[in-house]
Amino acid sequence: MTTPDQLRDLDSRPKRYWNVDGIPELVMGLVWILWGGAFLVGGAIPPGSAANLYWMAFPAVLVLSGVASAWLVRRLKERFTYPRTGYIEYRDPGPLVRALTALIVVLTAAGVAALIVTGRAAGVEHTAAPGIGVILSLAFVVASIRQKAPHFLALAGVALALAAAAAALKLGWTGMNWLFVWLGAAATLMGAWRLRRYLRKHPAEAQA
Amino acid sequence: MTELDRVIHEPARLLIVGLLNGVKEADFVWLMHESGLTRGNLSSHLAKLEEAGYVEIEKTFRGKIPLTILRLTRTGRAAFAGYRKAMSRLLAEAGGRQ
Repeated sequence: MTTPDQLRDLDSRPKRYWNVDGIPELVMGLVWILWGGAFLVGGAIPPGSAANLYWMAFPAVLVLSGVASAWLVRRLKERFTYPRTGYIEYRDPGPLVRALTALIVVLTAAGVAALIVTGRAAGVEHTAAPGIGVILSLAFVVASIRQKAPHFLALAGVALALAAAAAALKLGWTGMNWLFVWLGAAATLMGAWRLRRYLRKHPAEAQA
Repeated sequence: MTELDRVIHEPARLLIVGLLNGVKEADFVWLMHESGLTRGNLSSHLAKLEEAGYVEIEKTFRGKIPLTILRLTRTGRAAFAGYRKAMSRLLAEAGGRQ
């Protein structure tokens, strides 16, 4: 007889399938390197018209990179994953989940804007990078448990180590940029290694 | 046991329906990998589920490669939800008797 636990396990298997090939980590890592790197480059440009132009185009680059990453993950999965271990389309998350996600994004953006407008941003300069590092580390731990993906624990460890380094070195806002660059590099390397392992384990086969 | 849906209660079909319940749609290859069933075995169980109106099977192509898309119908999702409820109730009753 099938137990409710076994039925719950069936529910979670499509979610686990998302991480089977390393592609999401690979692309996420590249996007984080781009974001961190773009901030570092922007900070290195001397004030003037070039810097103004750079920062004007910056929000568009961030938004476009987010859209492009979703497109790239899909294309890579179509190219490598679906012909080997099959295709799935996830169920619509529903209006409640969409609304909650939008609310969290708006509240976070409003919080950051409030910090900048009220001039309190300087006060959190040295705690932002360690704080973000710890939050990302916890997010990886939660994802690891929920998706039964132990490799996320390694990324959680990297995020925590980077948070500790940022706190010790007191790098200020630059610390946040370096955090994303290094964490992105770790995610990219892990994704590439997992993709290579997946491709070796599953040679291409014809569709049914 | 009379409460349980006999079409779904068969272990292989329960596995198929349970897996399809978590997705909007999937192809034959994914279902075969996840279920561990052979091609022939999976096909025969899918035919039974289609006959019961629980699964919708769409045969199409991706480029020149044949592609079989599978979806749980509304009836299939309702039947699976009903099966889960009935199973939980039976297990609770069995636990209460012990």
